[in-house]
Amino acid sequence: MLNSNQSSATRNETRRGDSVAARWVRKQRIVRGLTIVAMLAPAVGTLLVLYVGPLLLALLQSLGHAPLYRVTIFPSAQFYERVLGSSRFWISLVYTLYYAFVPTIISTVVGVGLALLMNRRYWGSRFFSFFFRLPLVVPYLVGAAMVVALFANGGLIARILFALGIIEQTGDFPRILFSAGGYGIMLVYLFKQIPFTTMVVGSVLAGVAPEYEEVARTLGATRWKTFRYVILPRIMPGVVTSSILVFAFNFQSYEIPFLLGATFPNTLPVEALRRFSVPDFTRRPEAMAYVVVIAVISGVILFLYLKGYRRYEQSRGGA
Amino acid sequence: MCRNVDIVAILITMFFLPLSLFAGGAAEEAAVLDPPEEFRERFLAGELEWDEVITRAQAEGEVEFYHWGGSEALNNWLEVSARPDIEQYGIRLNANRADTGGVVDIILADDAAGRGLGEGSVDFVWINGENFRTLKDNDLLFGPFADKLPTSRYYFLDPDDPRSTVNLFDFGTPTELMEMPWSSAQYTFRVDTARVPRDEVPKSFAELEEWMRANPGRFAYVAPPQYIGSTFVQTVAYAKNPHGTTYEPFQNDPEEFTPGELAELLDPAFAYLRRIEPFLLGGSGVEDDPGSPLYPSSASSLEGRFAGGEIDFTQEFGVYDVDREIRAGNYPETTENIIFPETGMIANKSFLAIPSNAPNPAAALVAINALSTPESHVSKLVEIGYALGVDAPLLPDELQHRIEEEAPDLRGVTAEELSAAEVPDTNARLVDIIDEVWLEYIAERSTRPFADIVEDAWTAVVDR
Repeated sequence: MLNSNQSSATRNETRRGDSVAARWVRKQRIVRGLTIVAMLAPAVGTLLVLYVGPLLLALLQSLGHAPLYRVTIFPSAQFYERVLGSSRFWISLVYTLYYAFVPTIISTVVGVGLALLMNRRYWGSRFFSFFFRLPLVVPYLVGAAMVVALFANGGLIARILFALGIIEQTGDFPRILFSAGGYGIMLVYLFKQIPFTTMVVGSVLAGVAPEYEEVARTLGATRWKTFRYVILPRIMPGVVTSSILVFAFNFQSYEIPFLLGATFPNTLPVEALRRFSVPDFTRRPEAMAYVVVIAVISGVILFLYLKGYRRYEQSRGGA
Repeated sequence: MCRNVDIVAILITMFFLPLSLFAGGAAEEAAVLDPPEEFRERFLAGELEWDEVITRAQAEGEVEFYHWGGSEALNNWLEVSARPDIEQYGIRLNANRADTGGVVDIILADDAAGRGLGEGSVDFVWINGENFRTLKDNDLLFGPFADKLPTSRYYFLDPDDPRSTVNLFDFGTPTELMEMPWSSAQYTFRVDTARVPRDEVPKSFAELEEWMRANPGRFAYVAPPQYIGSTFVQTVAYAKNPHGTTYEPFQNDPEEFTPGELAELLDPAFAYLRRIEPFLLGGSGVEDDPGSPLYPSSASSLEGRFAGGEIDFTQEFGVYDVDREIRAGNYPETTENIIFPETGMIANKSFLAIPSNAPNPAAALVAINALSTPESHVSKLVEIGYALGVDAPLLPDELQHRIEEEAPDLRGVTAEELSAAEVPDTNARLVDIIDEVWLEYIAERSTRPFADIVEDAWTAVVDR
């Protein structure tokens, strides 16, 4: 009896305790939810204020709502028609993709190779990896100035070749800068982005235990197979991250193509700014239409890329 | 930039507000000032004595001047000469270095934020051409003040006097006295006579073409729409005008042409620009194959190539620049101005304008007046080679003598030759069309018919 009483009391106690615990858990959940919101707020707020806000403003202006420039024909597709209807836009798009993709591919391939090399220890490797990261602290503009100093037709290399009698006059030096080929632009990109890719991929690689490689090799895998089936899948997140950042920068950067590119053809951001700087303010929404189109195209490309990567990861997980 | 100014202003206000409440005296004096709008009306109606303007300017206390800051010589001159000239009236000069297009942005943004006279950020700005036109088209100017300044007697402002044209029109836009001439500039070709002997220097575009064919790759011009390049194309267009009336039709608004007429007017000039392409810097050197001609993207890039010996000619605004650049060691000693082309060298003035939302309108008027005295202009000419904004024939004899004796060397030409070749610049909206045509027909090498290209550019500017 006492026993049963006791047990019923315990049961009661337990039931009451349950509901307290449940309430506590619920409260905790709300607190945690609020904490997450509060902790995300700075990042989300910054994104909204600095990125989404201006983009929305650009979208509104490109659709004809720009009272600041005395344009109030919202909604109107007139500016998009003008942009998409001009041959200059399509030619610029081709060159923008060209200047963005080529350095991204080269810096990814070379960067992964270098990261693999630098993962080993050899004499002077510490010095080399330090020296190799120097370009990361050099601004892009300084990189541009260096490329001009070296590769311009009156630049250092042309002068040396001239002094050695290899070319007859400095003007005979092949044109690397200010041409549609965009070699100058891509040189600056590579100068900064190869070390960047190497660093990102290298730090992922440092987290891959060397045993995997050793086991694969003992089991008779060739170097290539070890890389292809053991190393590459493990460093893939680093490769994707760095190539996304590099591509997004290359696609949207303005100053390097402006400084080192041709008058025409040049990239979409350069065309956008050219339109923005026309003194006639009523034409600025056209520049905004360019901005929106640039954001959409690079957004779509990055989305497809990430989707492809996710599919790759899933297929690997399934296998 | 504008936002920074605001934050600073707010901080300063927060700091000084409690002080001024107690200080009393200054605050009361400020309260006595008429509302700025009333001041503007009375000033423009000629109801105010100049002394009253000065008194108000002193009460306003400071003046915000925005100017293109790319010339160290000018920045220094402003400190040593302009500052004391303005501050002797008890007004503090705040000189803000900026890009003129950016200043127009600030004025527009202030206006969009509902700030009127007495509330904006910019008191006066060094301006001309399309930027002035933007302000005028948007009703963002203080009003016709130029003839009401005491120094206006040194400027031709009578519309019936043909000598006034350069003061009353700014790239074809009537100034309506809403800006005061500050400096003048003429577009000159410069040549290194060590590389091109004087007797071989071309006098016309036809002779220049012959010279280019004999010396391929030794000539370049800046890519329009950069204004140094744009002015080159305008100069060609004047010289190649099929009606032989050089600059005259280019003074009109685009509406006064049919697209077909405009295409006919521009066709010979653009045919010339295509014909010379193979012989420009980076061109193939072979007839009909342009190669990849290199159009420098900025004036400094063109100048750098000239100084570095890649090309033998350069072009810029400013007849006294050659002397200054030689002294600074930027040009070879043997560089000279040339009279080219004889059909007309574009000359214009740059101005000081007051926006409609100037925070200190009276101080702006006093400061502009102080910068418009003949003494100030002569100092600017003698010290840093900025050509006069005042009209020399209206100056006292003694100043005219001083100019003759002390002005920098014109290096190869005379003032008489330059003024004989002087022609006005092109209508600002026609400039937009010409630049657009250049981008498509020359830079893009479009194969569409020339008339279609002109028509599209015309439509983009006219139909809005």
